[in-house]
Amino acid sequence: MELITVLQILDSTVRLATPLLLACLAGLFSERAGIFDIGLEGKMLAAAFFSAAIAAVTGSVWLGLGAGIVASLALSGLHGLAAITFRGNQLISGVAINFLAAGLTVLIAQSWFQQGGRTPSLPGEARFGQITLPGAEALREVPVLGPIYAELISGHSILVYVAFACVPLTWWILYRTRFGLRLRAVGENPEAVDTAGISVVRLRYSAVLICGLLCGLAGAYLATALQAGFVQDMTAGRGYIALAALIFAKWRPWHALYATLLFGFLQAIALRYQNLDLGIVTLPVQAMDALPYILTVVILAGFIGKAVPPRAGGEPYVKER
Amino acid sequence: MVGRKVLLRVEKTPATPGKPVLEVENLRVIDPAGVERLRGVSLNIRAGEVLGLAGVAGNGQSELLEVLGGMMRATGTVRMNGAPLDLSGPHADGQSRRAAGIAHVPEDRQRKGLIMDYAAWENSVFGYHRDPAIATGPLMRNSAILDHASAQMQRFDVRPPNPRLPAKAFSGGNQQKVVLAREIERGPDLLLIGQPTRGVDIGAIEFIHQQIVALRDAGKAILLVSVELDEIMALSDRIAVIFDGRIMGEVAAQDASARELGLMMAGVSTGKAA
Amino acid sequence: MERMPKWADVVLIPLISLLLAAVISGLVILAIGEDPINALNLMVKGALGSTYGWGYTLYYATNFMFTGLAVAVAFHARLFNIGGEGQAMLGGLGVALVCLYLPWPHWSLALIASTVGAALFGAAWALMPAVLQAKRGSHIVITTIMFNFIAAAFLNWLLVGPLKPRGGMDPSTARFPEATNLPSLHDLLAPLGIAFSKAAPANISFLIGILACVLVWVLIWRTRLGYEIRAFGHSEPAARYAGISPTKITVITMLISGGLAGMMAINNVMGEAERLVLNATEGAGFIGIAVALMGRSHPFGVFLAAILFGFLYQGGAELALWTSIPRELIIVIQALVILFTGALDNMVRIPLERIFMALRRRGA
Repeated sequence: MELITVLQILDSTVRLATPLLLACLAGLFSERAGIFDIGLEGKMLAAAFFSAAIAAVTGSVWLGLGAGIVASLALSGLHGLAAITFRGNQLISGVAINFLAAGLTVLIAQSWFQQGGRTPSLPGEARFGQITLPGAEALREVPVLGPIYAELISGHSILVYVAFACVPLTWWILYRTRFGLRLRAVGENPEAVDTAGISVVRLRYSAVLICGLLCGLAGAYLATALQAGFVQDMTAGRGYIALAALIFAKWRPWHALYATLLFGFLQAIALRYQNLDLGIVTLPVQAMDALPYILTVVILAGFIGKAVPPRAGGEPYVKER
Repeated sequence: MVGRKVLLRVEKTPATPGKPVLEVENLRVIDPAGVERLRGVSLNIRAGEVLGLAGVAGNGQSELLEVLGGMMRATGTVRMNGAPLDLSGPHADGQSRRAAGIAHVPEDRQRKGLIMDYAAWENSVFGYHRDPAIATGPLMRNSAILDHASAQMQRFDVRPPNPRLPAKAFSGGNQQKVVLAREIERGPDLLLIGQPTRGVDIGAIEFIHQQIVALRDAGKAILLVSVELDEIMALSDRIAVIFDGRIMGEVAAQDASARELGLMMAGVSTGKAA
Repeated sequence: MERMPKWADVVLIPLISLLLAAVISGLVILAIGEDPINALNLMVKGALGSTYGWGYTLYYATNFMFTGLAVAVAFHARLFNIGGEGQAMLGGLGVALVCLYLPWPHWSLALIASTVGAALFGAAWALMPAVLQAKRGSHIVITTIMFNFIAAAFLNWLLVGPLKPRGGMDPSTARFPEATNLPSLHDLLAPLGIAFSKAAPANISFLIGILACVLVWVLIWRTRLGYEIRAFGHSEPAARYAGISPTKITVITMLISGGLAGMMAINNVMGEAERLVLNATEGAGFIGIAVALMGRSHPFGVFLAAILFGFLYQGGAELALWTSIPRELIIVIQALVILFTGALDNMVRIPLERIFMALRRRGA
């Protein structure tokens, strides 16, 4: 295989991994604080729609991004209300949010743009463009490293770089700040955090809102960078793949990067080769589609190390009276 | 609790122990965290006697009850009426233990002994719900169970004697009577009873103690676990002391002094090894 | 003491939740510039105003009965089976294999075999998540979601590949033979002198759905197994005390749940499409969640909630036909029902409990 083909696949991997990575980190914050979130999909979808819609109407991709984040935060707030304030079932709340987003986006898109539940295609200035890193063109001719720099590292939208920067940032917040320490503690042992006089409710709300923010970025990336506009159900299960990646990563930031890159790579392969000829067997494209989910089940089965979620995950915190 | 000492004068005659019912040898339990909770416990109980197991909470008595009740796996040997019990295989469960003649009033009645949302009549067969006598094929004979529960609640003075009320609607003492009635009335050879009067009102304590003594007088073996030393001393015929997963020693109840037991409970050996 | 009477818990809370969902849906309709009252009228007329409308309403309701029962049975063991969608897809495969590859002299025999096939395939698809939950503690919600996607990919592959007949244009199996076609409600009611729309897809599976409701009621409240399932759902330590094996109950409950979800296929695959098409389940597996929550996991409640959602689906389709309101409105309503009856249950419950407490104090 030629270097340029490999680079194209890897380049595509990076693009496809970005929304997964953002959503995965979003889920990481929420679940590390003890709030299960299967509503990543819905928040991304809402953000995708609102970012595309506002970018289409105003022509400003930054306003679009803002709107996407606000929409995602609103759904996060709803999840917080159900899961934290009213101590409802977090899983059921997540399911509801996914359906709410799936229905409302199409409903509003149809009433707003009358294009069958999609937004108009975004022109170049209403999208996040590709950033050419300094010297990319000049170095292109350098053997091996030049194309890698020019093709793979340079030429992505700003959100890709933001997503990758979020990995060390998340690590730093979780493991090097007091907030992170408390956040992890509240996901393992909320009683202890409460006893220490720290508000469980406020910590969990912060985590859920950070999750909303990151899902907003993920959704906006889908509609305004990866593609040019919103179409119905455009997240296409990415929220669930991100959830799978989170388990794969065992709720750790750097591993989240590796897991989402792996799943992004699988998607890139599936996109490029409809049926993958492995010499002995030909893998149909559907097998590639299913692979992230199958891998997650294998992980959950404990064949590749045990995935232990945060101990207090999914349980509403009830103060002893 | 207030006034306990006054209440704990239980009328009973000396025991007339018969054949051994339960024989425990070298029982060991290692919990999931890798800590050894029982470190080779051996003891035996004969028909018609109460063996009291004294100890500070958390020294292995709960694990012992759970192993004997089929809720926890262990290694070692346990014989019930001479037949070995399965301690770690497929028959190490509550159903097999009941079939072997072991009844169990668990320490935590609200979390284990009862389904708090089940009505009293449903709780009256909890654990015995597989008894063919209360079923027609796969169906449970609910009206027969209800009638039986109603009569049972009268006999055990459960107040209010309404079998349709959920368990959570009863007071602690009346909940315990529901459990006790269920476990005693089937005539087990061995009754495991943990913290029989914890969280129980004064009137019910006396009633529960009388039931335990009556069961002993009917020739049954009883393993009594309690953190209340007074209760152990008032009800037992023999007293064993458990500390850190080991039996520290055993004394006849009439020779026991609170001081001596207290020392053993604190891990001080008094030379009377079992 | 109970904080409020049972009827309030069983009837009042779902009704208030439904009302809240309806009000918000009305606001959504207003916001997109349509008239909610008019929309409701259209829905009622479209779904209940003719035997044709009823035929669709009951057809959808049949799907939701099966998936709703599937979720409800699992709820009793405190298991959240989100995998109804995938299990129903596999059920469709079971039905297709039975109908296509075995010769059937009469629809009744085919129906029995298909029901068994659907249930077996649906149950099989629930088995692995169940075992992983019981033996490894892997969260059943996550595994069943994963299995939904795996099922979708698997069926996709089958329907564009091995199961597609030669020369077939769309991803689907061949038509099932005539002898396996189920009688519709029209066929069933005609001998009784009742005229029922011939075009509507409601069929004999509706009666099987009702039968399933009755049998699930017997299972949960009259059998030893149901007693154990509920006990396990209330308290796992207590179940262990009573000698109820958590592993066994988890696996058996999920098999029953998956089997029920799979049985939906006799309605949509055998009864309506008469072949297996791509995405035959159309999200019915997920609607089962809303139906089970709304019906308080009680088979009779599930029955009523299934009819309600059948009405919403048919009414929603009519709305999309006559107004500019897209069909996705029902997904919003479904989401709101799940939200209010499930996740925000306490938001409705706590104030209501306060009201009942206050009333009692005044009465006392």
